[in-house]
Amino acid sequence: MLAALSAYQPRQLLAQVLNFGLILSTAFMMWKSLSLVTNSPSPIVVVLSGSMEPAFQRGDLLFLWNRGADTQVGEIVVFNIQGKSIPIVHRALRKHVSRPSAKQSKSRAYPPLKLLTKGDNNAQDDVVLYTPGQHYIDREKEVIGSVKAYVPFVGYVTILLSEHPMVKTVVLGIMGLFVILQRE
Amino acid sequence: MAEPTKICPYSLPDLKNTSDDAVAAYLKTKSFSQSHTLTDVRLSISTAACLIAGATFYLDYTQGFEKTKTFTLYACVAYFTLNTALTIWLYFFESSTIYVGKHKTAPVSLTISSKVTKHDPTYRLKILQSQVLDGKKVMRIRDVEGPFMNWIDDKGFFVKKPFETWLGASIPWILENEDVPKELDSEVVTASGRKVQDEMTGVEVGSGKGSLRRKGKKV
Repeated sequence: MLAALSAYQPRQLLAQVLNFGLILSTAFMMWKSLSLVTNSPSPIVVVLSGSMEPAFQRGDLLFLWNRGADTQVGEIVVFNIQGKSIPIVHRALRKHVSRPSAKQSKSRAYPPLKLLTKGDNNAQDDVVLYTPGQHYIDREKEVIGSVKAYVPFVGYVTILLSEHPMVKTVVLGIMGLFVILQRE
Repeated sequence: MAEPTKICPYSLPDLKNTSDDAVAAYLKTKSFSQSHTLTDVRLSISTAACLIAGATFYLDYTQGFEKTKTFTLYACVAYFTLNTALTIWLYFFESSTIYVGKHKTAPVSLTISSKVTKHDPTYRLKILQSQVLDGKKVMRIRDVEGPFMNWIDDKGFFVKKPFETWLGASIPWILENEDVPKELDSEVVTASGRKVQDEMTGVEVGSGKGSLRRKGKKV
């Protein structure tokens, strides 16, 4: 394999590496554009737990939209607890709209909206999951979007990949090798 | 190269790429210097696009989504503009060109593009030669084709001589000005009626006119 690589002149090698780079970059930039359009840092998420059964099963793919200032009670939202990285998918049970202070009017896009959430399949609401002392989550700061559509089961591959991270590295490495060694 | 190049003889992209590289190598021995402008433009657009994507990734990874939103917006617009520019460039300007170069001393320049149709093991070249003849700029176009099996054997080894003979005979300037080793065929007969290949089996002869032309004599 190294002999095949050494047969390349510098320009051809750069062209091959750039081809691979462009594939990755285009995929990444399309993801970022979707992120910008939906205003959500992660517009497509996978359901990781069974707390929303029977509506959503583990492995379902969810499509999020984060431009709704008017989240209703009963909407399913995805949020991150401050400091924890796993997104939680639960339903909004109660909401409070507060009058914004002067400072808040400047730093926020809409008046502060607080939500209390609960998973359909859970016995209690999510106050046990929030940080100690927190009773509501902030729609603007912690919620990354409300669920607009879903595809069942497709996301199971992601769960497998995240539980066995070596698989992801190996697959990416093999893909990269193939692209660089083939000039088509 | 230390060992002869071996490729898969059933893969059309491999055959085409090896032949493309051999064109450049042969023309280098004939004192043509290759111009890399076409490739360089493509490489610089691709590098710029990848760098933008890399910068976006780095900033987003270190600073999070909210802070980098404006930068990401500009970066995405710039990236897709560059990507479109790259596609347009490849489609219109580079397309199937494999060689652009000019002779080091004589006023001759060549643009060669190659094409292979699917499942057909024939190498098709379009040779555009532009030279200055008697003070006038003359453009000559040749469309030549040859089966890959003429210069790549069934094991996948590339054989230089038949390829260079075929290519040299296809490029008008080389045909007229260089001594191209020609493979003898049955039509070559001496003045006394004896067939040349019977007398000199396996010997290669040139047109013989190259040396006269180089001395400036009329041929």
